[in-house]
Amino acid sequence: MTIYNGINYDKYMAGQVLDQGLWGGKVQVAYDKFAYTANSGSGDVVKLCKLPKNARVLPISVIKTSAATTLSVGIEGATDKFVSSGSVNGITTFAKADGTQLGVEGPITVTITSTNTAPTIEVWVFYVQAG
Amino acid sequence: MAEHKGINLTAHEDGTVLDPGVWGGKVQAMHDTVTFLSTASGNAAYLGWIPKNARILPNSFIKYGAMGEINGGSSVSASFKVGTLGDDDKFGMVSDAKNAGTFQFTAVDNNKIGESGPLVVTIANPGSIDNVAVEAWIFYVQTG
Repeated sequence: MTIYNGINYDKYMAGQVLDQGLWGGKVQVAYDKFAYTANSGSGDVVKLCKLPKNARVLPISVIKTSAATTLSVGIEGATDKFVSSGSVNGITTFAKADGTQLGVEGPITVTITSTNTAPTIEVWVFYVQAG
Repeated sequence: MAEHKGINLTAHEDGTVLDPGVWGGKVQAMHDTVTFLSTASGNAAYLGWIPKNARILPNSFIKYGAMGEINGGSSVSASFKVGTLGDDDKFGMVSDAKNAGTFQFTAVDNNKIGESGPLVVTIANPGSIDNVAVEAWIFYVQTG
């Protein structure tokens, strides 16, 4: 039998003070919505919310669409950081979110690669903020 | 190709001070559990207490035990609705609860819930199994 320690458990046991974004941080949520009044177009970018500097996006965050729409979710400079390009119909979680700090503040970007009739895009972004 | 902005990002950039419930609000959690002694149609479980003006978040979920099915010529699985006192399927419906499972809320719209009250789980199609545990994990933000 072998016992393995997590990287943060290991640091905690060694007496290190851990970043609250990793160790008991307060969870916050931001919500935003964009409703097309015409067809979406391939290459469209929908900017939603504005996350604070050093936020860590949690993988319980979700995007919701009113109809099947091919899209990816990320940030400026990394357009598929949270959700790889694919069809989203209803609720999909941010499967690729890994809790790394975002750096500068900025919006969530939804990059659309399909033409659809007036879709509505919503996001609930869960995050913790570090010091 | 076009660039669009969400309603709240637009309002933020216009200088509007946004409700914390949609812009950085503190997430709260509520947990409650109950056992249905019988899964007869119309039986209801009241779980927890959702405060006035809470916004229920779409990662909320229900864990439930196997409710079984009724065999009346053809088998019909037990089913249940998840909602509030005034809107019994506000958060969705599980159309097949024959076996145990987890149901993530599908019909969340970010609207405030209005008056306070419990989460309500209501049996729609009856099941054949008694003593079924149902557990609610509700995540929400509260506004002023």
